[in-house]
Amino acid sequence: MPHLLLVEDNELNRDMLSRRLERKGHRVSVAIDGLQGVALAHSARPDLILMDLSLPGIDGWEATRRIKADATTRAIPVIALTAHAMSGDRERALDAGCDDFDTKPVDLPRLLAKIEARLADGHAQAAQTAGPAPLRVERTLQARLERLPLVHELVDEFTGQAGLAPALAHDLRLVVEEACVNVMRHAYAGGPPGDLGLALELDTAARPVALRITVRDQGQPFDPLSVPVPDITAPAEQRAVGGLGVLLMRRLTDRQDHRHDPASGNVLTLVKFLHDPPAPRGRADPTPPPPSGERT
Amino acid sequence: MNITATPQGPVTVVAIDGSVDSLNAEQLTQALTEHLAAGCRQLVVDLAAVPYTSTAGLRALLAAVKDSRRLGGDLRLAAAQASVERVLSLSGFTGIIKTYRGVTEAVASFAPGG
Repeated sequence: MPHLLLVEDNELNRDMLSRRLERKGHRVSVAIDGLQGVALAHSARPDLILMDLSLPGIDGWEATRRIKADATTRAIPVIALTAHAMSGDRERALDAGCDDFDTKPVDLPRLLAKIEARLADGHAQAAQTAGPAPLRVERTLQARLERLPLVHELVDEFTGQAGLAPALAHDLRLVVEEACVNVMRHAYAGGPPGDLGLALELDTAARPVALRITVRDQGQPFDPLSVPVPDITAPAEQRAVGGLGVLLMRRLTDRQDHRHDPASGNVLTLVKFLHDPPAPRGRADPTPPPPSGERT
Repeated sequence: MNITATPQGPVTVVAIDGSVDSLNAEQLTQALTEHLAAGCRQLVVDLAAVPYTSTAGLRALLAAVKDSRRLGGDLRLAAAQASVERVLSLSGFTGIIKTYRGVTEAVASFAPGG
């Protein structure tokens, strides 16, 4: 009997969907928020996860990222469920590592078909040799410009472990500096500096392999991607000095996303797809760090 | 990052040794501003020993280019490594700042008819 994990905060939706799935022959475990979902994915090892995206605490996107970053749970298929029928949600869900996506209210026959398809894929993949686990490093530091060397240090550590080519390593260093300096300058302007969380991930499970940069802060809502980029064809005398970092972030990555909510704060995600992926040389501890302080 | 300046006739060659990032770019801004204030209006920035620059370094160069041209001079770049040249190109700087393969060519470009 397939074992499903349903991560859903709405009690009514949770009870109704879990009963309907049980009537169709599935064993269903439930989690009421993202953190519990990640913990149950790890401890119960379900065959498939149904992930609501709007969750308290860490949301469904972040919960999925953590599940996919953990070598022990990354193979579990995740189907995102959301009431938001916005086209961007699908891309965000897939970008976070979800394997499929469906909208609420649930159309049970359609959802069951997706579940069956994913379970069949999962069995087929399990018969094959698993690829290398994703590589992830992360650090939380004070959002002060003086901490920039720690940022470069983390990039160098990741670059070495991931075996990135020099040109790609250079681009990564540049994009990460621009993204972090934005936070250092703007997120906590007018107050004491808070934390900046930086995570670098080589997602070897994604196709194509993805290099993912995530920068977080709990400062004022600020979307660096909304900063106008300069007209680079303008003569020197008319060139604006601002916005150049955003221009390079956009040019050197394939996907950019910013979101803000009270629980997660600002989360900037930049993704570069690697069609000629490197061979990772080392492994970083994928365990998320404790919630505060300066550490690797 | 270390910055040294060497006069070559009417041209001042400013050589940078090391990466330029958001933490030390102000040092570059100050150095270039001081040379312009001292009357050195024809500047060549030697990038041969710069493996990396963020946009903070580019902003420092752009500000000095604007100031030098306002004063009737210019700032030109020389010997950029491939990685830095790519950043210059992606940022559109190669269209607004003259760049040369070597310091000698950059210095010579200031000569009448150069």
